[in-house]
Amino acid sequence: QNAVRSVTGLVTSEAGDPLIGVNVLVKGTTSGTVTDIDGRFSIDVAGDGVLQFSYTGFLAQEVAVGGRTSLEVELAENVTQLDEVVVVGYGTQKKSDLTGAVASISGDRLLETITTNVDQALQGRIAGVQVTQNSGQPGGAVSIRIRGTNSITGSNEPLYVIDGVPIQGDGQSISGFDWAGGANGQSRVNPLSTINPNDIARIEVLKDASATAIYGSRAANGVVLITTKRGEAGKAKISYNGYYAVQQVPKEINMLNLREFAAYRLQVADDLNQEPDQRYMDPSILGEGTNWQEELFDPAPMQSHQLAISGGTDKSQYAVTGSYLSQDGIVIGSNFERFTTRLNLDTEVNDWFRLGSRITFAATDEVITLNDGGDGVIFGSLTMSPDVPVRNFDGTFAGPPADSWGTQANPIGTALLRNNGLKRQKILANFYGEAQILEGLSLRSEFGFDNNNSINKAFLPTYRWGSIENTESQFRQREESNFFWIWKNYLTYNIKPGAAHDLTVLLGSEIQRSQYEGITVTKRRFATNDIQVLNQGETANTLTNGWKGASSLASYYARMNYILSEKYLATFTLRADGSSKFGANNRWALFPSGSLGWRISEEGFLQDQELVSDLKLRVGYGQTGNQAIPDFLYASTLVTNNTALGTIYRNEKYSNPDLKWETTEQYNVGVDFGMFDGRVSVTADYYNKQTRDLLLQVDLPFYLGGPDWWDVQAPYANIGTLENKGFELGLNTVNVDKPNFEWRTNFTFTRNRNKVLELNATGSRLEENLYWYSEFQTATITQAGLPVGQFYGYVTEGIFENEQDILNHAVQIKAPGSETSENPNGQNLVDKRDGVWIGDIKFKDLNGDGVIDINDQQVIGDPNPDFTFGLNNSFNFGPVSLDVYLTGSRGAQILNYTRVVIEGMTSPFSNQSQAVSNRAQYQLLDPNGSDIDPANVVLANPGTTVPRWATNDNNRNNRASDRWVEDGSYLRIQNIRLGFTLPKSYTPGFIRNLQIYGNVQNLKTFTKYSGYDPEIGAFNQNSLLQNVDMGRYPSPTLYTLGLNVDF
Amino acid sequence: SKEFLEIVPQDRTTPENFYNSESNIRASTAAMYSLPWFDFNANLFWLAGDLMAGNLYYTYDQQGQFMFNTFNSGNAHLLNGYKSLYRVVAYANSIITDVPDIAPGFGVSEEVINAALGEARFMRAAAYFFIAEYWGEAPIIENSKDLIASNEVLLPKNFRTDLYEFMRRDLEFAAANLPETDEPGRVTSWAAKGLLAKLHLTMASDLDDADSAANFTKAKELAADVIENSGLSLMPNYADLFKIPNNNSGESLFALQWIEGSYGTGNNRQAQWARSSRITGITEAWGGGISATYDLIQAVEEGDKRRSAIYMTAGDFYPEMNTDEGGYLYEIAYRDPGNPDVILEFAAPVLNNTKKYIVGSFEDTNGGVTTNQATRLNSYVLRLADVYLIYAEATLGAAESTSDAQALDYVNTIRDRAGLEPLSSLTFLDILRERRVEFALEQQYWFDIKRYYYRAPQEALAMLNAQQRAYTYQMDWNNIPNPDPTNIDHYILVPPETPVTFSESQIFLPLPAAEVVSNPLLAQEAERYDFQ
Repeated sequence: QNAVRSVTGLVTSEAGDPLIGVNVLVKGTTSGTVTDIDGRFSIDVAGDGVLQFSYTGFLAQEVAVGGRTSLEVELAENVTQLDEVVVVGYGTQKKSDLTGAVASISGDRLLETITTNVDQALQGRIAGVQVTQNSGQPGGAVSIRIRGTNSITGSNEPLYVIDGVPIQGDGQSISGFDWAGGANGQSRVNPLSTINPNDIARIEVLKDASATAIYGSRAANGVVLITTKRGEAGKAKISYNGYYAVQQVPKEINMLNLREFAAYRLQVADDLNQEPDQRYMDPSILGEGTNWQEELFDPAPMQSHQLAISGGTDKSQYAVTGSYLSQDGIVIGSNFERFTTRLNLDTEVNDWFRLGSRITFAATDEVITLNDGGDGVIFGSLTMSPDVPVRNFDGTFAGPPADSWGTQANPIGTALLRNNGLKRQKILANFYGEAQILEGLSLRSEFGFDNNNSINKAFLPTYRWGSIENTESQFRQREESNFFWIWKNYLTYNIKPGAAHDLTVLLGSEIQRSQYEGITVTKRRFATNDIQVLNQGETANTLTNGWKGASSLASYYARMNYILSEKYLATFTLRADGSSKFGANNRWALFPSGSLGWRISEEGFLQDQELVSDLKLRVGYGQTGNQAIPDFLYASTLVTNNTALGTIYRNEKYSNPDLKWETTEQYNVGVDFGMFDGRVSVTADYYNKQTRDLLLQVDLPFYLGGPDWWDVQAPYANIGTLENKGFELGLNTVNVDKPNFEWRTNFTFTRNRNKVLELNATGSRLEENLYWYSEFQTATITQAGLPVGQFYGYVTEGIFENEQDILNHAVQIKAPGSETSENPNGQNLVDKRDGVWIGDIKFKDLNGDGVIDINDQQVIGDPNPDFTFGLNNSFNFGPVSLDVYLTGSRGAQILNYTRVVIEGMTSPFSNQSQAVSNRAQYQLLDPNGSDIDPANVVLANPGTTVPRWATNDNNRNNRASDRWVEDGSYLRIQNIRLGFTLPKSYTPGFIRNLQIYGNVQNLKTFTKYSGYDPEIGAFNQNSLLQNVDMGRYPSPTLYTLGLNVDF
Repeated sequence: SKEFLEIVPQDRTTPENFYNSESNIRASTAAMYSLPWFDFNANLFWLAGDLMAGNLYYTYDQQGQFMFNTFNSGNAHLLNGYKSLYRVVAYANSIITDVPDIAPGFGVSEEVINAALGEARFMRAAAYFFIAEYWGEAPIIENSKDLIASNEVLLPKNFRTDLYEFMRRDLEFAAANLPETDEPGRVTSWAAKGLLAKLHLTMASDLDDADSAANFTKAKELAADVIENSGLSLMPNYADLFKIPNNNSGESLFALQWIEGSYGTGNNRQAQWARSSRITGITEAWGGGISATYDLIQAVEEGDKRRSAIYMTAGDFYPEMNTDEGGYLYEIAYRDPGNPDVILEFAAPVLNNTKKYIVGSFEDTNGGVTTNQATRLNSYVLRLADVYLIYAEATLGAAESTSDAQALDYVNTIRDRAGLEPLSSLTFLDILRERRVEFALEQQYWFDIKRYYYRAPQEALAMLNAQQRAYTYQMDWNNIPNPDPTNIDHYILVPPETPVTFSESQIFLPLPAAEVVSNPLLAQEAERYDFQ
């Protein structure tokens, strides 16, 4: 009976699917095998032998043969995921052996939300990672902050490494709109929008310095590792995923309709002593007028299709995918289209050498409208007068009748005709060869490249919309190409000298280089608006520009992982980087890190209990760098311009040959805790980061140089220190685990405190403004002791009610000659036109000197949230699955510049929001008396917070003040997904799996914020302009119906 | 390896490699004629020079505050003008510090280097002339690079007399080292002497100053030198001065050099001032609400041929504009010929719109007007007529009046061109009025008022406070049943409810708030500049 005989068997999952490649080992021997494509195995074993089955992601199992010759083994999925293998950069590690802060998310989880770009799907999913969409524009840039804002003027976006090829998270800039006159709007597009989310197998986010230090000078903002799906040995698997969605704007802002606007205009004309507009004399006979928001925001379709085929033999595996996505924007005229293909191959050339490739091609085609920005279509649709129709009877766009002020262009015409198209093509590839030199020693060599080409075409047509006429068409074509390559070689050596020791050493080097160039050509005066090609247009006024440059990086790195008795873990990393971005004085830098782990749950005193299934303590420290700055920042260069005196060469900036890296130093303490056999698992981390040597443009008084493009700019220098401290928590629970009902909860919590510790020796500060005309000479300030990008301005304290009220208040506009011995600062000039008037805003005299001036400003708001969170609940009732996903943010404030435009009453011809109905109104004490005699005028509606209409606003009621700062806290029902998997008995045999689902995204946002959307992000990824609402493209509500089929 | 990390810029050169020849050096001095001035020319130049001085009526927002004299230190245009003038200083300083350091190594001759320094020092002085006259006290920046390298960036204000001395040294150097002739548009030694004459005249205007008489004499000598020896001459027809083909004509001594095409290197004045897109052909025509003030209109004598070149009023006809419709006829309000209910051009506040610096559309100007606020028309800073009147004012000196034949001759030459009768004697106010009209809407009047103020503060203030600058025409709803906006007789002149006033403390502009916040030293007393 104990004789050795051949035993065959089948290994399946609990769901009955055969498992391929399961390790089968005869216990106590080295003899083993793996299961084949059908999950079957055959092995010689003694009749009383025991077989050990192990498989990644499943609980290991031992089965006594007990004399049988045929076995069926069911492996249970490993809920606790302790032995999950995670990608850590230049290798993988068992999750249980990790000492750094690394979070993972599987591709399946990403697909639970409908996203155009993969980075959007990370929102709320990972503790410590704050994701904000900067725009609802399809393909628009996203800002990701891993553990806070790390840099002030350098990039804050993490380093993405896609299958080994690093990609910087900064969005590509396109031409924007300012070159053809007006504001630029948001002109950053998303670098990850060329990646198909369906291709992604898993994402790892490396958060602390211990985990990121292996990426050295590019790692200070954290690293996001993206691994795409590879084929698996076995029968070919064919899957189709597709969905169709409809998007719509979630909210409308209440503006004045035509009747209300007419009444408003009549009163304004009266205030101005102007002749009333005859058309408005009797508002009651007017209709609602044009609702420009309804015209601008259209329900927009979106669809996605993907076909994937994967499979292979035990020697070679393949995965081939193709995808197509098309998304119209909810702002009329904007859209996004993407086509991708991918081929992933892995093959064993012989028993010591493996070879593989990851190749993807992507093409995107998007049209961006002039959305965010001072003259963007979103502002335009709010302020356009409701008395103008969208189109004339002949179908052409209508415009305002000429008068000397009302010169606003039709926003629908602008959205449809002032388009800005971008076509991108990308080939991203990585090839590897891995040789097993000795037992435990392998050498891996990788060559990767990223080739991008883009063409951006923007056109300003000729038009005549009412009195607004443009007779000069302009067309700009911008072409850019860049080629990046990286070659890396590294040795990994794993030895186990004695049962208790496990040592892995990694040694490697790599070089990388990026080369880019581009041109723009601008031509004018096209014969027709219909042909937008460069051969058209006038040659005489052609403007051209070109640029070209390169940067390179050379690196050496080493890492050591040591495990003692499976309890004590240590990781040490050292990387040296040399970069072309710095001068010879400071070209090289070293980035060390180390971390320790203690698996307390492996200690004897925790063995005989059921409660705690896992407990690990981690501590780490390390340094990483940031060099995401423009090339050649350390030296002076000359730039050219075309002028009346020919091509001129002018000094661009002052040099600083000592410029060097930004360095981030980070401490991390974390705990991983599991209970009830993994039914509850918690990961909590506390960190403290300091970024020093911040790369900043020196803040000079304007008499020495300014920051504008045509200034001789201040030099860059390493000044300042920034701190981020935070706490993050991830909680996973399996609440119910019954055969027909499963309920899992996933919760993430992120809290980060950001503070500038020092900035510039002179103690000055960074100021950021919106538009020069916006009356916000400082929208935000950044200075030592405060978080980055604080809103800055005056504090309001009500509205002046009468003359005495004004005279008793600190001086906002001084009456000439009003200084007396009692009143050394004088008194306010009470004057309807030149001075302070009843209905103007009272600003608080913060320093108590009796005068309201620039010294009476303070921080009036903080764009940083107290915390953000995500809460996902998944329910499975047999074939039905339900996911409910909430995200939220609390405590962040928003500077709502949109309200300056729609409540500021700066022009009598612009439509305003309903809020101005409550503006300060006057009452004359003597109805026959003068309305400019302050003694005769009082406020008719005390308690209002909206000031009077003022001709030229001498009191600057619209200045940056707490009037525009709002609470941006929100709770959002981000996603609800209901899926139904057809039971096998109802599907034909060739279909392995068929699921249909319905999904609603961005269903409802609970917030006090008055604008479209409290999720604002950073304007063009600028960390000094966070949560400033300048007419941000709102994120749509998305209704989706989808189908997944596997064959 | 080392080479792998050694990457030089591939699309631009460096100062160390560039200042190696006369042509390269001149390509860098050429940068000082447009870009750095753009922001100043775009707003503060005319807001101070015409709105604040009482020549232009405009009420809109932060620009209108200059007309009402109600702006404060937070005004955006004040800041942008200040930044722009110091930008000129920075451009000049980068040449003044780098060229003598680098060019000799390439064997460039001292003469070439000095000519470049002369150009740069002329520009620096020109910027300081504006800085001194607007703000009075401001920091002198002689070497930006060294101040930054040594981190001595917070500087005090210097006295106006120091600013004058700094300018005087720069202009003396420029007059000695600039050539007498150069390619059109470049400044010459004559431009330097002309500006130096104006500087001495300004310095002389404080009659209590001990050097006043000497400065009048110096101004007169320099003006005479320019008039007699420069070979320049007045344009025969005043209106021709403001046409694109006459850029850098024989009357121009120093003008900002503009080109069409892109933002920053073109003259944006037409975009700011033009009445409507009927004139410009493009949407950039924001001057519908801008008029010459009633006060300026009163200063123009009957029959002055300059009037229609300064502002347009009912019945004026300009064949050179709107050429595709056969010319531009100014009407009080203009109805759409296709739809008489629609008014395409509304009545301006004082029933006129500006003409100076308005040239028409792309078609009208052979391509000299494009979008991006870019017109090819130069902006005068100093022209020969100014030097004529400087001569007269310097000759008058501290006296009440003069009948000096030469001074009268120069003034009457200018009056003759305007079609006006000659004068037989000159007072300061005669010259002031003549200058006001001759340079109306050329941004000079505020400096003329300033010299009046230095001479006689109370009289100058009284004159400013008596201006009828805020008078407007409004439709006469009370007396005419259905007034027609296109009928000039249906308007009445309406004085403002409150007059515009100036006090002594408002004769100098406040330094921009943003600058004072970042450098508190600017809020303290000025200090003497230490001339090396």
